[in-house]
Amino acid sequence: MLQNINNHIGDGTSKHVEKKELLLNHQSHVENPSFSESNSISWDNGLLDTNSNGNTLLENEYGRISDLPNLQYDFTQDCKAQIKDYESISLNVSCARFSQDSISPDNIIENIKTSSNHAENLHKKNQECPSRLINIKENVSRNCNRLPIKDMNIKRNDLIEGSKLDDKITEVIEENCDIESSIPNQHKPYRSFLSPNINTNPITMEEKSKFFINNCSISVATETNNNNIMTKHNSIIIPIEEFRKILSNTVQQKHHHSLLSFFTAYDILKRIFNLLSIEDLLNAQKVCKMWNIFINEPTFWRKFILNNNQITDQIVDALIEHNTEHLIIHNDNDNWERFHFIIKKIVPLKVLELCDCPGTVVSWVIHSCPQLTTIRALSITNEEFVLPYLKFRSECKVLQLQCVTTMTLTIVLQNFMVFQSLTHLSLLTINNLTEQRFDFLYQLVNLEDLELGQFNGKVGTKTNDMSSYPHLSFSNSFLTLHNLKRFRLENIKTLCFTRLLQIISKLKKLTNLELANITLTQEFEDHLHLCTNINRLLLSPNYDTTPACSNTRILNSIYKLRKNLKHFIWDFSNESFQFSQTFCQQSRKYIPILSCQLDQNLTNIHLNDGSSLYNKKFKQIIKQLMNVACQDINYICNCWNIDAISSSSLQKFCNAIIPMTKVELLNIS
Amino acid sequence: MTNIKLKSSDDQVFDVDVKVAQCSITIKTMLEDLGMPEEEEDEPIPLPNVSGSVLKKVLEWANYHKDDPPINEDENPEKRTDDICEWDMEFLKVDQGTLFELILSANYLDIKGLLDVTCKTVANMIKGKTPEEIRKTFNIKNDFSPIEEDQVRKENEWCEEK
Repeated sequence: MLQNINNHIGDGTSKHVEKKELLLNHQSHVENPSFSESNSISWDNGLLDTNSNGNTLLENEYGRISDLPNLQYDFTQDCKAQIKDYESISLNVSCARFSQDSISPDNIIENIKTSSNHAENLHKKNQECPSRLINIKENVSRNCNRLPIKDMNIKRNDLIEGSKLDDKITEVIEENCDIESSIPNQHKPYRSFLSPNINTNPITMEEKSKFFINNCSISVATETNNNNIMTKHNSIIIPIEEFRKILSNTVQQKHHHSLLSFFTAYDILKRIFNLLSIEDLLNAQKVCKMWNIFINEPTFWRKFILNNNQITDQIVDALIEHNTEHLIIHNDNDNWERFHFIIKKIVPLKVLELCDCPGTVVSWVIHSCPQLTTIRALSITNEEFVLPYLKFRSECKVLQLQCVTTMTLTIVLQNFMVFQSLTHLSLLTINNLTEQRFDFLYQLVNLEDLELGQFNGKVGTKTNDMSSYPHLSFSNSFLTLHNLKRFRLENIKTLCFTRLLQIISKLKKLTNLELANITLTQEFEDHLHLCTNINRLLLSPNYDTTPACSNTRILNSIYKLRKNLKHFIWDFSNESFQFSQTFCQQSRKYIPILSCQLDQNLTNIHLNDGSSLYNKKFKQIIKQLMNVACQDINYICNCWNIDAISSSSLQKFCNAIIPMTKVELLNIS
Repeated sequence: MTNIKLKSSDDQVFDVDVKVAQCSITIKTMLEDLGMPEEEEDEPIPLPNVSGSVLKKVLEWANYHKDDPPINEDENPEKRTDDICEWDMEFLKVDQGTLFELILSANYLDIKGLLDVTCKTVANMIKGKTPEEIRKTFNIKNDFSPIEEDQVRKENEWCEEK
């Protein structure tokens, strides 16, 4: 790996480097803590520390030693191979400084020059060597307090010309550091992953990660023509996941530890950056190179939440540059004019969610941003919405409109022709939901998911009046929606179930039906069994009138549909039910199901309202129910009169009558 | 109530309630794979990446949060960082070194809640700050050359205007 990396660095910097290279490692280990007699120190995973008295301490497994003599440089002399065969020579140098006083930057330069000269001497033996690359394994100190130890490649020319070692070395590190940087040691004061240059850190993971990024980007770039590679600020960056893949394939066992640290740092920084807003990201990008590289990752830019007045030209430029696809816009100052003007410039945008904005803005967006595939506006602030007239065919696949109160939808039939691409349509809180208004649906043949709903609540006296809601029924135009898979109806006050269920039963792909806050009538009970295509059913009945009656109807109807139904969700979240007297009785939660009486012999069942039970089979089930319910002694009176059972009994009961169906009872606490 | 032993990188051994230790998915999986410790004679579980002082903090956090409902792994669209509970705020009033150690340990031990709250704390330290202020906060050296800095600044000049 090291060789590979070096070669690739070589490829990037000098065309003459060949594969062979020589590493001369300075390996004279200190046997004896008596440093004064030793003129060379090999220092692995140690760190130089200044203690509180200002004395310089050297710390490693031998303990602390103060007042070291000047450090000498010693190069291993025994070359193990013929140098002329090698074009790149690595020298392993240990250099250190113990305090700012005892050794100056110039000193270090001098020392490194010495080492360079030494290397040059070696080079001279091979006149054909064109390479100026010398690997120097050395210790760099960028501040006087601590001594980081790492390996890196240094271009000799840089060193000789360089007057300020620190800057030079920093640059060199950035350009081409050796992947074999020191393994993080256990002695560090703490391991920071935020910065390549934290003063108190000898080696940070960032330094390593940056090395990795630079190295590997170069190596990958010279090796492959991967399309995912991008160039930025003269450095080549590959996407992290690619990087991870490539490394996991090529890296040798001994590098795993460093790699782990790198990915840990990357994952954590990603987590932190993911929490930042766009302004913070743009600021953080300017902190240092590593942050800049990391933040340029597309993942941070995919989705943003912004205020409408935050969308300035500069932000738009940043969004375009980073291909932001998803924006969520909140209303801040009700001034949408500028937004109008600017939003259409964001060409990469695909998903737009608008919160608290007027209907006019939504229709304007639909009109002027043809590239959007998803438009969601779930809290439109005013009551009018006019679907704009489009000359072109809309690419929009998902359209969701909902008002904070209620809205009058104005849809010109022809205008909807262009929305044939729609697969998801949700129109809720519409107050003019009548048949002729919804004839347009027949054109949306690609529709897979449809939600329709009226407004649930009281707005003024006009809408309060039940009679003001037109009777909603569905025409045959619905039958063209043959791709429909899910259909949800919400808050429909009056509904022709016979017609609706007949139509639904003919839509063969439709398997998922949701009816929320709808009064379930006898019609519903009589016709639900037609819908054999439905295998997932959600019911959240409106309990305005007779809870027991509605619940009995539900039990009857799901029993009739039991062969096809795979999943049944019974939602009791409706307010009218939560506050009903029966529900709260005796501080235990009871579900009213039906009023019936069993005679003493448990043979005949008489319903209190005079109606009869559905069939014989169901009678038997009611008997079972009685047995189940009898366990709820608190509530069953002596005359075997049942009109409510506990939620656990209801669950048992449902399981008994529709054993093949998964039953979920929601919002019963 | 069963206890298990955890050994930190500096060989400190902690006797911990299993429920607290299992806040760490890493430890939980380890226990599932190895089986629960039989008796007290069992070897402590070595945690070579966590020092004693940090492990102590982590366990303090886990003890307080042991009854929390599991966090939903779903992607949270709202980038909220202001929902740190008071106890955690107080708990995380530590120096940066400790904070970073806590993040690394939470990551290694796979404690989602602690990782979340510590990352949010760091994000809050970044939020609303200029690049220079961020550098100062985290002691990061500006390693851009003047030319590069110019280039980056040009890319988003508006930030400076604010």
